[in-house]
Amino acid sequence: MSARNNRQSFLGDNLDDVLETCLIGVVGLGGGGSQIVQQLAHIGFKNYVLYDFDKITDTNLNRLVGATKQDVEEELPKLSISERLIRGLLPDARISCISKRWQDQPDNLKTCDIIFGCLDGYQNRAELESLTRRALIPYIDIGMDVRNDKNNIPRMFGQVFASIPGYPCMRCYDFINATVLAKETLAYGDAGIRPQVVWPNSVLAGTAVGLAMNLVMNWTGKCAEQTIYYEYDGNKGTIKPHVKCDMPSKACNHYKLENTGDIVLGRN
Amino acid sequence: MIQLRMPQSIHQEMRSDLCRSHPYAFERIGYVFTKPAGESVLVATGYQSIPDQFYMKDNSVGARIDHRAIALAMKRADVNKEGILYTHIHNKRGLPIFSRDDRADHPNFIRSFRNAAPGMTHGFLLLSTDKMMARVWLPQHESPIDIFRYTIVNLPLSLNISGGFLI
Repeated sequence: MSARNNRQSFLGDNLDDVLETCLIGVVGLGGGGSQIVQQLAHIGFKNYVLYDFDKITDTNLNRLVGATKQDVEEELPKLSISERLIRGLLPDARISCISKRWQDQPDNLKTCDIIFGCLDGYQNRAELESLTRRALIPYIDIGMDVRNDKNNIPRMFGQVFASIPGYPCMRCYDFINATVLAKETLAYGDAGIRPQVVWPNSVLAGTAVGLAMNLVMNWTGKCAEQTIYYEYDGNKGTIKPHVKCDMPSKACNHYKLENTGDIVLGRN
Repeated sequence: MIQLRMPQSIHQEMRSDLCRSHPYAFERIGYVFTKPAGESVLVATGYQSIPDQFYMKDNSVGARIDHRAIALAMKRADVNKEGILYTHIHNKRGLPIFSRDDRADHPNFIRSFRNAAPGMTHGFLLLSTDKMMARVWLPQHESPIDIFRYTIVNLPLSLNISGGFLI
């Protein structure tokens, strides 16, 4: 075990090997993604595929970890900020930075061992989950939102969802369904100002990274019982297994094994 | 680098089937079917066991299958547009190595598999009791590539480097 991993050696004897070889994809490097990248780099993961096509602005500074006022003045891509953050901890990290929508260059993602999604919108999530299911890659999604309740009090909520091939998907748990997709389509072009703050992203990113660590290291010895859907209540300050985790069926009827892999048409 | 991903359900089905004894063959053979996921990943889509009566009585090798067993794989590959990995197990621990007999059979099988699904990657998956490796022929390539990186997808994830499972 390397000296760097001295304090986290309890995770398992093969930690050095996992950190050296595991390839992590992170899609979206804003408030959530920047914190995931930061934590993964501190743990010591050496290999990344990062996707973001956006540049930092003043409105990101309240939550984008690693960003500075200078970055805004230089209109730095969020990719560059994450890359700098990783290299500050791991100068020899291998990082593929892709400044495109992931849908425009998906093949890099298919080589990843785990993918984190920090995306806006249900359609985007549904598409990324579909890719990861087809490529048999565990996909860990985080997200948060703030909406006023009937008394006009802001309600902060969010989720961490691990979509593992062979286990229930986001549709199984009704996190994604026809209603939310239709609502999103109707609201297209009317996004308004989406409230975002830094601290819920810390909770969600930390939970997601912890989940991933158990997935690759099984340091608890009980990964088979791992909670895969957490709900966050920012007003109460709680994160707990979603109530739907108790549903009896553990099989997914939306992504069948026979539909795995790229679609091959015609005579091959 | 090519890598293979396999859901635990297929991995378990494959190992359980290959470990069964046969009425007269010394070992069992099966097929893992795959599809590409991008240019450098193969994902397993299913496993096919071979019925006992499709084995030939031949004491000179561990197992030999007849044309019906080969047709079984070719038909599925053709219909589903899948690659075929001819699979068997060597009952030892550690990184398995293809025997001389195994290697001698490879060209004939590859020719048949390519007739069924010429655009797909075909080859041979060799298991030991705790590890595995594969030798595959990409479409339109004459030389094979050995695969040592595998992932068995489950909770937990079994990542592998150089043929050895980390978990």
